[in-house]
Amino acid sequence: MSVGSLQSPVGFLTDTTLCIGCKACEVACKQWNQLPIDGLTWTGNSYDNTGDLGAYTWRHVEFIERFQEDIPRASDMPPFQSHWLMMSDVCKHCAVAGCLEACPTGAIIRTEFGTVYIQPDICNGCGYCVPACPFGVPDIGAYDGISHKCTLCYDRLKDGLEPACAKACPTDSIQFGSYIELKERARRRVEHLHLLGVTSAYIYGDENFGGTNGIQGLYAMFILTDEPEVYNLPRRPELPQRKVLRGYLSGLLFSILMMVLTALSLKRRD
Amino acid sequence: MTEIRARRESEDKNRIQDITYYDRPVIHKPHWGWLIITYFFLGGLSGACYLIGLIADLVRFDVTGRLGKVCRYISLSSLIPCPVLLILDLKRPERFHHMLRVLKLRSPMSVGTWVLSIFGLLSGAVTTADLLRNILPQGKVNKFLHALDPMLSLAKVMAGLPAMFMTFYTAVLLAATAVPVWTKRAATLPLVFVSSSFSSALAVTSLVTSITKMFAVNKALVSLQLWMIPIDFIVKLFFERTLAHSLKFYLTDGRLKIVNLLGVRIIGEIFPLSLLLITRIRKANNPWIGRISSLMILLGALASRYVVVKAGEKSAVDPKAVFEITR
Repeated sequence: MSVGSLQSPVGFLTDTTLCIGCKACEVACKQWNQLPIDGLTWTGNSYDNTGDLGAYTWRHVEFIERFQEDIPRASDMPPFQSHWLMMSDVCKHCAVAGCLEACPTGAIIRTEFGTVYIQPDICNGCGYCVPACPFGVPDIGAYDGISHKCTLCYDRLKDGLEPACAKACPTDSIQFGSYIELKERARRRVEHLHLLGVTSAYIYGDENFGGTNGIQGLYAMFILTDEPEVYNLPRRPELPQRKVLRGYLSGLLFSILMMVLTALSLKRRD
Repeated sequence: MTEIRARRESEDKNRIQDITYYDRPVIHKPHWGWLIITYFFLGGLSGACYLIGLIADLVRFDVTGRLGKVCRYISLSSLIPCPVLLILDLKRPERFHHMLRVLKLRSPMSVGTWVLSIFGLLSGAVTTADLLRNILPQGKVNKFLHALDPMLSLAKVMAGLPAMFMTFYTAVLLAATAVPVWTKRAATLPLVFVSSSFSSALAVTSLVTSITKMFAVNKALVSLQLWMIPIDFIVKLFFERTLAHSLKFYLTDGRLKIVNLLGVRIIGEIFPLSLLLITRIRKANNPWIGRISSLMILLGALASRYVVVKAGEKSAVDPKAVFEITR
């Protein structure tokens, strides 16, 4: 399925230059979706004590501290704040999604909003979507044994509301809207950031970064100001299913070869 | 100037190579453990065993068709635990039948579900008929089976295709993920599974024919083994060698190094091959040498699945490996 085949997919634009690391998105997500606790630990490396996206954590704010003096700042705020990179990570709702393609039960579907949704009554916890996601988003829940990830607040969308995290975000770092519109907004914002002197700003989630190699774009985009790896994001991920056909072909050919060898060997003997 | 720029660029590259987010994993590893590793081993063995039996019948290896039957008995016996292993591995086993709601050609697990089901039905029918013919006295049932013969022959050949998939689809299943060690050489990994499946299928058939004193058949199988083990060896070597240096590390580090070297290489390949070769050259007659070799090959095949699965998991939780293959 390509982007164009959908009427108007919706998504997120997470502008990291506006993030203040308040974690309101994490809290709003947990509250709205009634997600249980999945660990109360100190990572000891930053203000990020959430650690990772998981079965019951669908927003995750990352904190990257930088010590150089000459970093171009995306804001007029004093260095204390602008020396932190903060990003609220979330399911990317890929235009062509590895988890959706992998799911053997059809539990993972593309909704009428263009988002990727796991039907909890269908999933049987096979776990294949977990390594099939190039971003490490879905995970099997410890309480109910099924796979979970961000639903982009499917229930709220049905009622015409924006997702809880976007609603709660006090700086509009998380913006919700139609993908086409957000993409344009992101382009303009990056242009503006370049004018402000933050020439390192770019979009993660188009066909240059993130939405690469068969993924065809991410409906949840990000504006970043450093290498993708800094934010724990793969630079040019690949849709895992691009490997399927070549795998089948090489396997089939080689097993035929082994059968021919067997036939030759067994025939010669008799 | 250009020198400085080149140095700066390489510094930039080095910087990017060292970046991680507090060394936290980028992708999630699957929860699969021993159940799945054992399934990979048994499923491949079952498929390859069926194929060897089918070919023995097709080339009319022996007039009585004994080898074909033996192969199918072994194939079905190793197939029966497979669905059980798979269902037990599900976190919601009671929903296993949801796998049968859809067929998705781009999902190797979905394809595999159907391959396993169809293979089970066809080979189950053919093998049960074989078995009934053997144990029941001549009579009505046999006549009934006789009437079914054309259909059973058709089913026997038709099961060949899913049997072929059984020997390698699990490798495609691994390759179609974001896990570096599995996905990097997506066309080579299936070769490893195919050769290992055939090698272990030959080992178990040769073991059974040796124990049941079918020595002529056994001799033919050992001759084939003398080809198959080196092929298996070369294919695995090829997989390891073509894997980027930084990824090879996961196969050859720590505990996996021991399992890989001792289990897969020495116990699974070098030792049994040497034993079989020496026996063949010296024309020795001790059946135990062949039997022990077979057991070692089986152990080696199980170990090789273990190494592939565990090395993949290790590479999945290493952000540097993930960044390297997505750079």
